[in-house]
Amino acid sequence: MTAPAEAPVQRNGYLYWVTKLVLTVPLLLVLRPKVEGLHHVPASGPAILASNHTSFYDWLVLPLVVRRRRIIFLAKSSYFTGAGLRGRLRRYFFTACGQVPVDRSGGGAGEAALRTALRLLDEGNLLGVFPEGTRSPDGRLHRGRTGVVRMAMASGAPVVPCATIGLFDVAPTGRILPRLSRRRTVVRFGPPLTWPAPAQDGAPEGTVLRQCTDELMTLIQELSEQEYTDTDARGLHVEGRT
Amino acid sequence: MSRPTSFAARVARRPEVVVSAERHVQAAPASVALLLACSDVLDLWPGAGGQDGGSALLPVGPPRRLRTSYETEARWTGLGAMPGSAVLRVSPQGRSGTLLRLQLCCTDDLGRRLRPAADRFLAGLAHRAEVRALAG
Repeated sequence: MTAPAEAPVQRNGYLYWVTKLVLTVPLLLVLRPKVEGLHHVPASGPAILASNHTSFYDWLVLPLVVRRRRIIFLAKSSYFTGAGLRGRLRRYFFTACGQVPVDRSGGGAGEAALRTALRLLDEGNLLGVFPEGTRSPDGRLHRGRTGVVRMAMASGAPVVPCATIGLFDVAPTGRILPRLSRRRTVVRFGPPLTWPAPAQDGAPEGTVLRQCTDELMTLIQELSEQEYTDTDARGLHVEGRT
Repeated sequence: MSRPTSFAARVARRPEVVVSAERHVQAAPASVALLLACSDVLDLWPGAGGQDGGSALLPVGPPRRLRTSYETEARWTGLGAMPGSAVLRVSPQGRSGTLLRLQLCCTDDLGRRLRPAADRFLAGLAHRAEVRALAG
């Protein structure tokens, strides 16, 4: 069986706007996000938002503060493949929000998502990516995966580093309902980064991808003020399950 | 009974010097800066676990980004002496290399004793950064 050329994405993502409309007031009241550096997010044209990922609320709070543009997130493919009523509802929700499923099983599994992401950038969309690949299990910033840099190099789109602060306390991994906190959450955006495409048409070297990813993660660490740990966040999730 | 001497008096009696140690690393400055944001990086300092007379390097804050380089500050303590300060600068050198420069501010005699520890710390940090860079 051959891999699909592109990941399925619903174009209008109507539920994104409905969710945003419904959740804006409650989330503003509960999270009271303080926004810094929003001017770094381009008002139009292709761009990639690369954020730390400490909570389920990251992908809700970013659309809350980036008001004028729709953010198309890359989400794990298991959100689109669940069985049973809950699985079907989840699949409907994420599909109707216009999110892109990413197969994270490694190797070439994520190529369809990468192709879709490049097409969406080519159409001038704003993509939301969590370079750690999953939510941080311990609130620390984990090693970044190189996919975001591959996307940026292939598309020429700028990468806007951003960080959410305080959401791990509100709803850490595994928690859906938020804890009420007196502290305001913070969402910070940094100046965009761009990297030149590789000299030849071939794929950039692994060391170059790693260096550029580290440059991005350094900026996210600076914005988030998190402690960094040079471990794969997904590896810790797997260890936690076994 | 002897009176305890003030910090200023001890400094005046034992003037401070700056001891520098340098190391070239085949890794990007940002990659080294990320490692410096890890809490366990200072375990590379000889004696951090209590051996070698118990000297230890304690972080003051995460690395700061300067125009082309990164800088982090630390305080070292132990060896039965007064604490001192340290600055580690991570600067680009060559096409994809980095120069690490650690400067310890301490008394002259202590500087001579700390110099080997500083060299070993930089060698350990360089090794960690290079292994990671090669892993891709």
